[in-house]
Amino acid sequence: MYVVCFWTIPCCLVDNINRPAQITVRYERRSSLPAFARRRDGHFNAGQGKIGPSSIQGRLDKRLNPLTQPTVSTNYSPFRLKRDAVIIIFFLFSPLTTAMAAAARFLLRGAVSKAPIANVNVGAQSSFGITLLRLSPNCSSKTKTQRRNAAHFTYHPDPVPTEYGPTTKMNLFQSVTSALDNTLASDPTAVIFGEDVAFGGVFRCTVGLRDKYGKDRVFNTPLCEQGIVGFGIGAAVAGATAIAEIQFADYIYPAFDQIVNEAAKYRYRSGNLFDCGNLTIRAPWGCVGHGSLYHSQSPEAFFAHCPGIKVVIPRGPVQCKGLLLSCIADQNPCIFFEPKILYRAAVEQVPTEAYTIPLSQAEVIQEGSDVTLVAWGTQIHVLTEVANMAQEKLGVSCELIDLQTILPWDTETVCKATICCAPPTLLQGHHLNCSRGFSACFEGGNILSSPVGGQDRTVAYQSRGSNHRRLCCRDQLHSANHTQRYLDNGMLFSVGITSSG
Amino acid sequence: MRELQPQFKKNIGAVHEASSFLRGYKGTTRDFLILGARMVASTRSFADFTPQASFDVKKCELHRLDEGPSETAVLTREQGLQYYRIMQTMRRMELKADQLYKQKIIRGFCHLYDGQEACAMGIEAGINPTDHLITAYRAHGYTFTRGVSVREILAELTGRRGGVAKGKGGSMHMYAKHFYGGNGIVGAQVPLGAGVALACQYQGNNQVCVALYGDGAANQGQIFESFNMAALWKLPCIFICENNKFGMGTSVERSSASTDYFKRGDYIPGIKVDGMDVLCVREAIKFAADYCRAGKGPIVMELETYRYHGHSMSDPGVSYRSREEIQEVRSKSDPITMLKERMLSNNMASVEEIKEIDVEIRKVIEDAAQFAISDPEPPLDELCNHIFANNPPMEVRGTNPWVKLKSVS
Repeated sequence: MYVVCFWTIPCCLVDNINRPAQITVRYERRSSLPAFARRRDGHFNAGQGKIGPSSIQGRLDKRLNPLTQPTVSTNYSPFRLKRDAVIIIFFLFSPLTTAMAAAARFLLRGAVSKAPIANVNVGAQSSFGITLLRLSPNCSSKTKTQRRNAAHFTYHPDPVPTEYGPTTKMNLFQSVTSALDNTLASDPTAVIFGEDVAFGGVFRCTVGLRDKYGKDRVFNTPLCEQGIVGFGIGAAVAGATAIAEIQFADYIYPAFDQIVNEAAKYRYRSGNLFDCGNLTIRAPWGCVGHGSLYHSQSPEAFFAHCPGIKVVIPRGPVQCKGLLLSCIADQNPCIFFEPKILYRAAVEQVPTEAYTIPLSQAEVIQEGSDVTLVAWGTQIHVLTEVANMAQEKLGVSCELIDLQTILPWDTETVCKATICCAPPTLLQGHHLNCSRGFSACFEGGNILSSPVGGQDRTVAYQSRGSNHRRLCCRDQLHSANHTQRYLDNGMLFSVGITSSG
Repeated sequence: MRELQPQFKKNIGAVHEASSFLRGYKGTTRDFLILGARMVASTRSFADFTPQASFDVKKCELHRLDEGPSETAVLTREQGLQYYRIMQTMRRMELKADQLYKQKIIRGFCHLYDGQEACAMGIEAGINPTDHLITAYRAHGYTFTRGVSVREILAELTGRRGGVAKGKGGSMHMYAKHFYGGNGIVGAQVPLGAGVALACQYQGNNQVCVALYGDGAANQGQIFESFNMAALWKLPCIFICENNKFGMGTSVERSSASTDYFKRGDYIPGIKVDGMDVLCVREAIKFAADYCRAGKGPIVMELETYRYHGHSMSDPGVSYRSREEIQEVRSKSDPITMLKERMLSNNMASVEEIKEIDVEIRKVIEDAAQFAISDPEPPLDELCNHIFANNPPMEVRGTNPWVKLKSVS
């Protein structure tokens, strides 16, 4: 037992040295492997805790009280401080064991050989890109491909909002629960339904609501997405505030016809006599590292060309609650995509009372003068890192805009920001594959081709000889094995910035 | 005995060799040792065993049918050993996958099939290798019965290039000849199965298509669309609902207005089958295949079965059902135990023989696991292959316009 501890503690220290300050989620460990042989898992994969049953549903039987907070610890929790002190003492006195432990871990991790990512790039600029890749402390190409457990971004929490009343610490799924709680309390016609929502949902977004509000307001549906959305449209038309959950955004396609042909067109085709504005559809969205083909998709682009609905994607808990409440209040059918990789990883101080964040208003997160970066959802955090890196290493000042509402999107803010850059330079990031991304319509600087473009400012943007690039994922389908390489890393964005001048 | 997949022939061949050599030979223990590892260490000669026996199987409930599958099944000794071997291999393979998942060597999603082996084995025993089969994501068992080796299955689970889909598919996307997967989206495979049946009818090759889905998927609209098309055009399609009582964590009573899944075809005849008895499944599928081949149209079957694991590896499986329930099913209706007891009580096999098969299977699984762990991952230049069918290699844009990847098909 002593020997095991001896090996463990230096390992922890080495690990901490290599990683930047991050929020980690701790679960209890169950493994027969000795401590030094366990792979330290990525900190943001909600489904991949330690060895043992991963993901949320595996912990249901342990969580007797569904409303307890998950064990989320940050780098400055008391336990870690004490342990870190012990670690330092050990480290001072046992440099040899530390080195040996690190070597052991490295060997074990690198047991399976992988081709280096450098082979993939071709062309003159790529060598510069590779140089840039190597400059970054954490992003050397070799470790990226070998270290498949690492997440590809660091979460940047919003500052604590002061204008909405008292706040508590919540992660993304708890902020969803809070928003739904507020809605069910204030609106007697509100109902929540979807697959498995009654016990709390596979991502725990509806935990406790059935007990609190009754089984006729929070209920399960059978396995039928087309039926769920169709049913939701009907309930909304009849006057109920219907909040439908699609279990994963990847499963929304059977409901595509209902959304596009029924929900979006209801008001128009009835001459404003009927509408299903009371409908909100929620779905977990985006890649999560282990989701592969059917638990990782980001289908906002499919809906972005459909007038009549609104598509909203938050970047964190504060935004999530406000935007979700706005969607529910909005008199148009809304689709609300929640980045599933942030469900547990994103923790912020969120107001407990209801509040709204206006839709169709992009938020300028960071001011800048050289390049405009536009993104939504998880990529905001990637681009925050990129903007910082660009400032430090290249002296490029980036303006970072969170689009928030994909449809109808805030053309004014984006155009104003872009025009202010000289030359107008717009970079968009999204973690979809490039032929499917919403901003495919931006490519070539032709904003006029977007569904809601065609305003004076966009014409001005185009005619100024704009410099527009779009950075996204490779145009291929997720395969189970390649997901980690599929996900972008911040350095490639930097390459983009550099190359576009 | 129906024509077997080649890999099974190889395994059974060894037993055949030994048995035919020893039939009527009453030698000493030393002679047995000479024959080597494949020998059954039994002092009884093979002439003592019953070559075949007939068993009563549970009567199947029928819907819109006057006659149902036969209520007695004849099992020969070779068949029994073969079924036992295949089902035991499936069981051990799933348990090995469970172990590898917990060691984080398999990642992503993994839906295990243990408890339901009789369904896969029974269906395979009742159809020809040239018939077609398509199922949902709980597909490892069917991948094996359709002819893929354990090595390739485990390598696919661990995502290595030796895997059946070259490491790019994973647990839910394994394919073989006449086996169309392995499908992740619930219910989406059933219209595909109806389409394959249409192709069989069109080509006139006297083949059938078996389209499987679960009790959760039975509520999908596309299932009913497939029923309608198949009945309208009299497609040779056998729709099989594997009712393991739970759709993820939702029991059938909570999800379905009608839990008689074999009647859901309405105008399509249906059979309800005990899915834990491999002989019952075999007789039923033989009946259904003959029905379809006669051109009478589709047929719906419901296999009542049970899964011991949870829905996937992230589901402990005990939050919506009790451990006692699982234990009860394991002790009373485990398919492998049932077959073993039948064979032993009818003197069709000896305990030693069965043990020997178990040992062999354990070795096969261990080797396969070793291969799956040590095989290298697919190379990075295969990342973009097979997106489109394209004759000259295609360039695929990477994450930024300066990264071009090659796509070859």
